[in-house]
Amino acid sequence: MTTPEQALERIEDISRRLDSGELQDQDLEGPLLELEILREQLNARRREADASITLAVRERQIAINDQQMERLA
Amino acid sequence: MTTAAQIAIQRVQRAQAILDRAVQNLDRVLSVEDRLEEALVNVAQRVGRPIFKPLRLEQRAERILRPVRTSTIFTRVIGPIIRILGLNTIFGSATFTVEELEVANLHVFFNTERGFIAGMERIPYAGTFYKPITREERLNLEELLPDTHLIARLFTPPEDPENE
Repeated sequence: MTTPEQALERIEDISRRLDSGELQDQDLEGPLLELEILREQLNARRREADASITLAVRERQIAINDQQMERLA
Repeated sequence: MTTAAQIAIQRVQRAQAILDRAVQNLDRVLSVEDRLEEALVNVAQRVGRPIFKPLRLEQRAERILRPVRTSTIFTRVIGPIIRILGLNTIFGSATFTVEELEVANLHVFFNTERGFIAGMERIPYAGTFYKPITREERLNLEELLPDTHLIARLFTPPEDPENE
């Protein structure tokens, strides 16, 4: 899967070609599709990171609770 | 310090390290998302396909108050909190990480079954500020959200095992 950095590189490349006129309006279906795919991939990465954060927060809270219990014991 | 206490501290530190990495991963994605949306809009307009709408308020809230994800949580929890705390002013390009929330001393911390949300004193972006939660607001929240377990670490810094 494309990394965020690779995605940014592709986005910048497309934007540069768009701005320079290298890409004409009739040539844009391909770049549009590519951007849509990148968007899906970034969304998937975001969901994955969200899930990891949720899990890590829970793990840490459990560990903190255990630590407090230990302190009281 | 007992062995059990040391193990507990190590577990907290490990969990924190995992959290840090996850937050970094999320930030990597978020740092690209805005640029991607901008490029998509440009290209879509050029081909006569205005298919990309601006983010809805709910989507912005989910990004800002991450890692809350479900529309149910938004409707039942985030929406009321946003209204009570008057957080609508933060909606813009501001984003912050879970880590930054905790570094900045939580004013209120809600734990839900599927995620968490937090209000804080200050967002370190663009001079945008949350107002501190008042006792009345807290009571309103508790009344409005009876099914939400309120941890309410009001004005209390997060646990720091290093200081033990």
